Amino acid sequence: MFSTIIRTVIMYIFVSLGIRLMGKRQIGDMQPNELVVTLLISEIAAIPLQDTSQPILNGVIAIFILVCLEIVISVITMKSIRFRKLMSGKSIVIIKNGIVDQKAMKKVRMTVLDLIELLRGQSVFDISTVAFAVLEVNGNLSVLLNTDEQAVKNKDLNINVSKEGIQIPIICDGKVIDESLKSLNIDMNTVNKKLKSKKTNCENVFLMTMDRYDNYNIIKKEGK
Amino acid sequence: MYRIIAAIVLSVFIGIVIFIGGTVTNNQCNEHRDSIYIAMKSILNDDWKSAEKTVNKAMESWDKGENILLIFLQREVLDEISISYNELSAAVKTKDKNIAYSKCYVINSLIDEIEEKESFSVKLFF
Repeated sequence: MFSTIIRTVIMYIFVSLGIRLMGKRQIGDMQPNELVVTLLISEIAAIPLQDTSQPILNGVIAIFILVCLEIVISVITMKSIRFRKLMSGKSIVIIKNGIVDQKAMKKVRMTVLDLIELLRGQSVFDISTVAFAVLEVNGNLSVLLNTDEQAVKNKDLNINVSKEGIQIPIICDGKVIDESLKSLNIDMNTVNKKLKSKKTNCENVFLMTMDRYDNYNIIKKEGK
Repeated sequence: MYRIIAAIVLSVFIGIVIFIGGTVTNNQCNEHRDSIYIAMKSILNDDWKSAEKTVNKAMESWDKGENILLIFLQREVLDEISISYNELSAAVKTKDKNIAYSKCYVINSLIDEIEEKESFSVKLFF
């Protein structure tokens, strides 16, 4: 029993390390080769945990070889377009200028119901509103609506809006995040001024966020 | 860039582990094959004292080496060799020539099996 615990801890560390080296991607965003490697790693990792007569090193080496292969393939994929097409395939246009390409659908073995389901996933409930739909390598459907169906943008209406950047948390639960101050290139005096204008102080703030255009939000702690 | 460095480091690590594993396994196999050969000779000549001494020495060496081999090899195979060694030791003590000789063969064939499994052979790929 004790050996199982130790083996599990060791395997957890090595699998985490392997996945970390492969890079951050969600299952839905994986290329086919990445999915294969992920599935294989999970299978291989389970074998030495279930069968304690198997040396754990066999599992670790197999995982590391898969990770190495994945890294090598991803590097070649970045350098060569042909290799990328070979390993990952290419995007296929399913709807072109509002016309469904039935040949392309047959090619990717997609039924009309599949297409409608994927469109619904993109919040498109009327197929006639779609100008272009592209089936991406990872299985997602990218959709471009007809021009008259697209959302109106500020520039279409000639409206000037104040600039907004990414809101970065400055104070979380009363604690100042120094890294955020550095990234926004501000000091505590600036923060204190904002807090004073809202008649509060650092300790009473639940969350304070700020962007690089000086826009900020303050949420006070409950009861303060 | 760090991923490529990591891949190179991992490849080197895998290479070192495979090399060490192969060397340790080969050394252990050769050592025990020699011991068993000497023991077989003694058993054939009815030199039971010498046979017992050789077998005991080989068993001691096996017990030490087994812990290292466990890192690289399946426990079941190693357990089989340990059991065969114990049976050989018992047969030598009771001076049972047939069983002792057959156990020597069993140990030898198990050692051959280990070497075969760890060797770079095309038939093991499939």
